[in-house]
Amino acid sequence: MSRPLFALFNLGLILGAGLVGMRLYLQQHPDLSGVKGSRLLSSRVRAWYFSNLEPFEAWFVRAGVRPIALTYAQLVGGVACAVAYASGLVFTAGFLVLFSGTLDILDGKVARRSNESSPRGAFLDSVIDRYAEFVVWAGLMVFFASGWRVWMVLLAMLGGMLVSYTRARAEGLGVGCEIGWLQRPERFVLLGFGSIFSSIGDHLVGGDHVLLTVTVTVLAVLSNITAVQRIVYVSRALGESPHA
Amino acid sequence: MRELRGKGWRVIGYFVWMLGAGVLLDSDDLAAARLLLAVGAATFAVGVWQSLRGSEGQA
Repeated sequence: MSRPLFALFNLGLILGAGLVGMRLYLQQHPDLSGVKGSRLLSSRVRAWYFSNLEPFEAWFVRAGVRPIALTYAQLVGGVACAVAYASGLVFTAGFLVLFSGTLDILDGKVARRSNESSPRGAFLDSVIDRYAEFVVWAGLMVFFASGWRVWMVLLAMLGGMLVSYTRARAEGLGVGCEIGWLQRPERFVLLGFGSIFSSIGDHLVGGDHVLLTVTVTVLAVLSNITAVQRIVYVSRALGESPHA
Repeated sequence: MRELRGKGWRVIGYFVWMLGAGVLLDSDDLAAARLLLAVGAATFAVGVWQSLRGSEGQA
């Protein structure tokens, strides 16, 4: 059943909460010097989002929640998201993508706040991140099971994995590699909001998840470009050409 | 920490509301959606009330 008014109301809530929340946050003149930004997610947007998580960091540390528990919760969130996509619940899936990404941010913050950061935790976090990302794409592949769009999902998944792999391999060779247009937070934000707005768009004007299709296509293209950017960057940093 | 008063409840309320919105928009399960929307709105209201009480105390 189509619910255009309710969809419009929620679109207003999402945009309004973002705009008003950020405006109120910036009025406090926060110190943004320690927050890294990117083209898609500026340091101001990131700092505002992190500020919303501060109460939860404190709660988790007080309650003695281990960072690794949040990392596993992120995986559970990813599986729930995959089930939602596979069942055609696109709004819910988009929301769970953002929730899962938020848990990924929180585990690191809780680890630092409780002095529990460790190489083992960082390693497990990276590996579980890959699983969580893979299951989300798998759910989306089930959703787009027939037709050309499943290939776009596959390309986006490949790009995402390569973006992570190039960084891990480069860092293993001693080269820092946090560059490129679409890193993991950007991918999560694009896919999450792309899904939510796609569902709202379908309730408002109809269609067959046009916005989600566009989002996945953009992700497929940009994440592979990011992977190539990293390959070129690391090759230059190591003083070798890709043809060598 | 005063500016954080009630913020956690507001974020949780917003989260639960959006979950309810997802249920309604995706699946038409009215009973579950109404429950989540009501709990979300109430939790958000508790957060707003706490932050207002906090700012009164500050003033």
